[in-house]
Amino acid sequence: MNECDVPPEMLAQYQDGALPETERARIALHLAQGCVRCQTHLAWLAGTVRAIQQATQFVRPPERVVRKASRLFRERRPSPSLRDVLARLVFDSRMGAPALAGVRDAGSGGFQRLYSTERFDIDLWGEQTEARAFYLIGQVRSRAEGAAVEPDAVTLTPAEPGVEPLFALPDGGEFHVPDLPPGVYTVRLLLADEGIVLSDVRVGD
Amino acid sequence: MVALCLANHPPAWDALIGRYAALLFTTARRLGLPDADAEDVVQEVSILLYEHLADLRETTRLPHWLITTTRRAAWKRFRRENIPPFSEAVSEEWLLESAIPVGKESGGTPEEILLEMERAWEIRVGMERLSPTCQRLLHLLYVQEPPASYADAAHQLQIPLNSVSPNRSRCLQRLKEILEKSED
Repeated sequence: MNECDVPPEMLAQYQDGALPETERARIALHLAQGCVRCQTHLAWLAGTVRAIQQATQFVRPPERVVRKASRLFRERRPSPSLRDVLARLVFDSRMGAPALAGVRDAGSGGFQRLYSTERFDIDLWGEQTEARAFYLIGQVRSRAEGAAVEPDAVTLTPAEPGVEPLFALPDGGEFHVPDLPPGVYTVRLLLADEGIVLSDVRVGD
Repeated sequence: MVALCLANHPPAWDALIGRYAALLFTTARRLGLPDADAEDVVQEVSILLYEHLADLRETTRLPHWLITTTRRAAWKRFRRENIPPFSEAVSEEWLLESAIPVGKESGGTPEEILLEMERAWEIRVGMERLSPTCQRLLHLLYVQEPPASYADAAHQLQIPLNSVSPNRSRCLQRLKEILEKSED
């Protein structure tokens, strides 16, 4: 093990104390001989594990604090200038409509819906995860150019009163919601010069 | 989102506050402020954010700006409310306005705490982009108390025992790529 052929996976097992004694001793010797690559990776691993543990400790303040902070914008800028456009549903994989070109296979428990406005097509695709939640992927495309348009923000407001809105994560022309509970949502997509509203988006049965 | 706020779109502001409220509140608490004061700091920093929206178009630096601003707001609160520094060792720094007191449960200097918070926030955002299976696996191995053994993780995720470690490595590698991409 003089030349570094240690896979990152083995270093992770070393850190977990999950290697057999002979392998553990070889890695320890390799590190003691000064392999910078492995030392750097182990240091990154230790720092990342510590940060993963800390990342779960963020605490949201009470909802009244969040609402108060939200209100201050409306108090100071009372007139919104962006117009909201309501999108119409043109395809729902659960309604037994014939498949359209470009429609992905939604799979068991999954769904796909296409919405349209005058300027944009919006594709929503949901796949059920093992925890009865859904992994939701969406994409907005310009009807004129066919190109994906990344929204600046996507909010999903549950129809159920008192439940906090969720925020999707724009990612390379798509937006993702990794762990969406079943329910009915109003989805609002914020683009540069207009807002798009998808109403009564049903996720799950 | 900042650009949309400047374009006068209230839902973008709601999204901004919804996204970062936990960062502000947790940072203030981590620095040693009681909950009621930490709530006030969330409000103060939200107002400052509103007032500085035009300067903050570069949103990749937003978490850093929010953490730094929370630190200043917390420090002012310590001074105004005459909350005594928890550690005599840092009281001199505190008077010099270069640091704020370390909380009872906090470890490290205020600078270290803030760097930790920034790193943890990056990881939190990065983890949200991992697949649900990756999120669950990393949670089982690194967050859950006590941590799951490889056998427990395999059982809970219904995957073969010998695939736990390779899967974990792939998840960590993916997380690394996401973080590197976000730094570009």
